[in-house]
Amino acid sequence: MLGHGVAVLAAALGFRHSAAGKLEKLRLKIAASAAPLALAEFVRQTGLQVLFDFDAVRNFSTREVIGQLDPEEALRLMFEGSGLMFEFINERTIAVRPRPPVATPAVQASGPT
Amino acid sequence: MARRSRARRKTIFAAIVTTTAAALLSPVALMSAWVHAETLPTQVFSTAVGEIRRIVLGEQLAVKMNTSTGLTVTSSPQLCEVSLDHGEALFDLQRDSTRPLRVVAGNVAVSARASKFSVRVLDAKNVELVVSTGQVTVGTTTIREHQLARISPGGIVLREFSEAEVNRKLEWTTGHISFSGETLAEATAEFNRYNVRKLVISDRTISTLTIGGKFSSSDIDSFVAALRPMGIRRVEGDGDKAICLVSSREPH
Repeated sequence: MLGHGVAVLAAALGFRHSAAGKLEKLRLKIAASAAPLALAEFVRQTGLQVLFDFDAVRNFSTREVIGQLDPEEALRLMFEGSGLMFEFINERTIAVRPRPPVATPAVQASGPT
Repeated sequence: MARRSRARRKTIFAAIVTTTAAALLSPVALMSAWVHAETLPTQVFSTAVGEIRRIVLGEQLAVKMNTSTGLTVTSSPQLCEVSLDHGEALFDLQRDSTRPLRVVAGNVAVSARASKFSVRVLDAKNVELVVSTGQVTVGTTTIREHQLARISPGGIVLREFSEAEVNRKLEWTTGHISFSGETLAEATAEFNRYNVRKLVISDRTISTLTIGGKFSSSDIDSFVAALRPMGIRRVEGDGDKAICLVSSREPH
């Protein structure tokens, strides 16, 4: 079961890697701001295509990013702790969305026996 | 006898030369007429679906035509008049321009001197105007830099724009479409302006979803693929002419 999970995760990561392709490092400077503004700036500086659900993303904020980074590294830094996640759809297109809430397994309350 | 024969041969030779020259010259004459037509005061230009074309009219006016656009230019030393029959165009009139520009779109006449502005014919009665630099006038109304005007028979509605918003409105000049809170219905309509293959929303529950981002106006497949994480999937429509979009979420 665990092996299957790892395989699925690896496949997922592999897909992301192949979809992103080999990304060039770019000199990026994106200020911390509301996610739609930061993503518009990310698009301007990288030339990549981005799509997101505007109403779902508009109230999220992203971190400042400065440095020689590839677009995937940049997004990872921008989204750190933000509650947003991204997915490479193909080598030039990225979909951004809020991270789904982590389902916590229901804990069975057990009283003293 | 020999002399007469030689003279006759000369006449025949001259006739052949004249005929050949006429035959050779006729395409030249046609070309010359065509070139002349190009330099006549009235010129007609058009773009196909997805085509963006830049035309230069004299030294001081450049026009960028968006997809599916038709315009007629009439020039005189005193005035350059452009009739925007349909579609959208960006007019860039140089600062040192001595000849004013008049753009006629439907019932709307826009007068301009040094300025950069776009005009879009929305339908038979509605025109949208965005001024990037300088100012233009419509009737007695002046539309200034970074203003958008919606012009209809009911009047002119002006809206202030930031420089970033103006640039976003003019993304088409670089072959891109940019979204900042438009509904999916509006976004698909925008893509459909640039593509022969059309996007069709087959599920009303997704048409009001708002989206943000930026795409190449011809990259319809990446746009559709990027909708998948939002819970929207494609179903093939009318052969290769349409892509239908439906919700991939179970109805409640």
